[in-house]
Amino acid sequence: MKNKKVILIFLLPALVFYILFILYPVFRTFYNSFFKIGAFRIKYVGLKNFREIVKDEIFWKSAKNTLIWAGASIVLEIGTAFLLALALFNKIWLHRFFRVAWFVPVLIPYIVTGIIWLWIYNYDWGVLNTILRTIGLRNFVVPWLGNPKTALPALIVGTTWMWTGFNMVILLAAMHSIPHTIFDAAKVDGANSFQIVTKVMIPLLRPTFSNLVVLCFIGKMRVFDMVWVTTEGGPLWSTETVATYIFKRAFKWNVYDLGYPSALATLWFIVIFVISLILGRLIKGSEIYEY
Amino acid sequence: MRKLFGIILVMLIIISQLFAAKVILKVWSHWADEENKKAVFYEVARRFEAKHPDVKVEFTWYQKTALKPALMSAIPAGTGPDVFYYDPPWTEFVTEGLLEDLSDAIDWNNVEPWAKEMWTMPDGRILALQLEAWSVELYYNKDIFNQLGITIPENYQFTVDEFKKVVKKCVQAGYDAFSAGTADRDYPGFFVGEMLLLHKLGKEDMEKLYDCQLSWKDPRVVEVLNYWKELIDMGAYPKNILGIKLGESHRYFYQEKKAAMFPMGAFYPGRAFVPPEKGGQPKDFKLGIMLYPSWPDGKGNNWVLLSPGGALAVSPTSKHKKLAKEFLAEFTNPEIGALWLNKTCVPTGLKVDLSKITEHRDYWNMYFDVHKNSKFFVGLSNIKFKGKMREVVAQILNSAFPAGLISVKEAIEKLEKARLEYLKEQGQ
Repeated sequence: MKNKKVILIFLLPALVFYILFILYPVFRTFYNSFFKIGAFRIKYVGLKNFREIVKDEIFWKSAKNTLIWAGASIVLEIGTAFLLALALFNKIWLHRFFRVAWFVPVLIPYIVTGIIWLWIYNYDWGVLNTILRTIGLRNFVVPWLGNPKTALPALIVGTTWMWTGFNMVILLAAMHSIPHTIFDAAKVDGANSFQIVTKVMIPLLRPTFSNLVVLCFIGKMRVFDMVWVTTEGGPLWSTETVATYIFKRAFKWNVYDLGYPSALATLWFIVIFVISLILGRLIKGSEIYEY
Repeated sequence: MRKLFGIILVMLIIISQLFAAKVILKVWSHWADEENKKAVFYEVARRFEAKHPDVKVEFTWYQKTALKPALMSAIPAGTGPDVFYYDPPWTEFVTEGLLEDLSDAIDWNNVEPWAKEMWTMPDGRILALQLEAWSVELYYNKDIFNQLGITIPENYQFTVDEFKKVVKKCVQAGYDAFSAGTADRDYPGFFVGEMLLLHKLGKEDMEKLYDCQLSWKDPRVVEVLNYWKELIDMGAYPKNILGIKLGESHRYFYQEKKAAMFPMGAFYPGRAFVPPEKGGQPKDFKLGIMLYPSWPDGKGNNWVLLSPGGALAVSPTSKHKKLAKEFLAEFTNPEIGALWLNKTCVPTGLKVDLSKITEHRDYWNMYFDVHKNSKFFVGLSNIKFKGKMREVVAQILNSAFPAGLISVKEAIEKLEKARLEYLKEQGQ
C-alpha cells in the first residue's frame, strides 16, 4: 500500500503534465468539434461541422496529398534505410563516417530542412537546376516547388532525405541484435547472401519494420513545417496537407471559428489512429521470433 | 545590528510595495525584428511614462504569424495584452468584438481622414488606430528604361496598349518585366491584376467584386484577366515567381537587376533604403515610380489601392482600458508621425509634421508628385476577401495565374464557384 503511494507521488508530476497539456487539449478539441466557436460566443451545431467536411473539396485534396506523402514515405524512407543499414551492417568502406553522415539530417530542424530544400530547388540558382543546366538537360529545368506536378514529389524527397537516417539507425540496431549464429546456420544450410537477407534477416526484422512503418506513417500524416516553410500548400493546393489546412482554417481565412478546424483535427486523429492500428496489425503478423 | 536589520527590512517592504503599485501596461506587437518601428514605440512609451509615472509599459515582440493565435486565445480568456498590434486582414476580430471602441479616446484630427473612416463602424465606434498604410506602387529601374528607350508619359501613366509594348520590350531585351515573389505572401502576385481591375471597374464595382456581388464572368473582369494573361504569356514574371520570397523579390529588382519593373507596396523603402550590405538598393540605383496603366473606358484610372498595414487596438478584456487608450493617444501627434516616417519610410495613417521630415526627401517628393491626382481606395484582396474566397483568390490570382499555370477560363470557373459558395454560406 505504502509502495503504491510512493509510486503515485513519483508519477504525479508527469501525470499532471500529461493531463493538462495532452489529454485535456485532445478532449477539448473533440468537444469543440461539435460547436461553432467565436471569441465570446459558442453555439452547439451537432454534426454539422463533420457534414461540411464531407463536401469540403480542399480537405479531400489535402487528405489525398497527405496519404500520398505517408504512403510514399513508408516505401522510400524505410526501403532506402534498409539498404543503407545493410551496407553499414556489412561494414562497407568508411562505414563509421557514413553512419554519422546519413544520420545527420535527422538532427536538423524541419524549418532548416525546408530552407535547405527551398534553395536546392530554386529555379535560378538551386543546385538541382544548376546541375541539369550544366549537363545539358535544360529541358528538365523547372520551378520544382512552383509546379503542381512536381511540388509534392519534391517535398517528399526532402522528408525522405531527413528521416531515412533515423530509420537506418533503428534497423541497424535491430540487425545487430540478431544472433550471428542464425546467419551461420543459414550459410551452413547453403543459403546465399540474397537468401540470407530475404529469407532470414527481413522476417526477423519484421517487428522493427512494423514499428517504423507506424512511426513513419504517423509522422507524415501530421506534416506541417516542411510545407509551411516552402510552399504554404501551393501551388493550387498541390502540397496542401491536412495539418496546413487545419491551421489555415483556424487562423488564415479571416473567419473566427475554431469549431470547424477542431472537427478536421478530430476526424484526422481518428483516421491516423485507425490506419496505424491496421498497419501495425498487418505488418506485425502473429509470429513471434525468439532468439 | 538588529535595529539596522529592521530598518533594512522596512525599507525593502516599502520599496517592494512601491514597485508593486506600478501598473503594468502590456503591449503585444509584431515587428520583433524591426528596430526602426520599435524605436517609435519606445519613444511613445517614454513620453507616456513621463506623463504617468505610476505606469510601466511592457512590450512583448512577436512575429505576426505567432501573434494572431496568441491573441485569439488570450483576449477571450482575459489574459491578453492591454494594447496589441492588429493586422487589418484579421477581419474576424471586428465581427467577434475583439476591438475596443476608441472614438472618445483619441484626437482624431491628428489622424488621416481615410484612416479614421476605415475603422469607423456604422454605429460610430472607431476600432483601431492605423499606423501603417501603403499604396500599391509600380516602381521601375530608370537605367533599364533608358537603355530600352522607354519614356514615361508626363502623367506617369501608360495606356494598356502602350504598357503591353513596354512589357514586350523588357522581355525581348532579356529582362523580366516584373519582379515578384509569392512564396511567403498571399497578395503581391495579384498586384498588377488587382490594379488593372480597379482601373477598369472603378471604386464602386471593385467594392462589389470584393463583396462577391460582382461576377467573375462580368465581361470587364474577363477583359482584364485576358489582358493580364497576355502579359503573363509574354514572360512578364520570373519563372520562379512561386519560389521567390518578398525580400528576394526586392533584391531581384534592385540588386540583381533582373526585372525592369516592381509592383510592390509603398513599404518598399523600408527594405530598399537600408545600406546595400544589409540588403538595400545600391547607392547608384535610379528608382522611378509610375502609375498602373489606364483603360480607354476605365472608370477608376486615377484610383490607387491603399492597403492598411499594421494598426493598434485596445483589448476589450483589458483591465486598464483607459490607460491603454491614453497610450494610443500618445501616437496621434504629428511629431510622432514624422518620427515614424523618418524611421521607417513607410506611409502612415498618423498626420505628419512635414517640416520634421529629414530622411529621403527626394523619394517622398517623387511619390507625392506621381500621386498628385490619385485617389486612394482602401482595400486589398487579402483584407477584403474572406473564408474560402480568400483562399481561392490567393491560390489562383496570387500564385497559379501569374505563374502561368492556369488559363483565364479555368481561373474564372474556380473564382466564380468560390464566389457562389461564399454567397450561399452568407445566405444570399
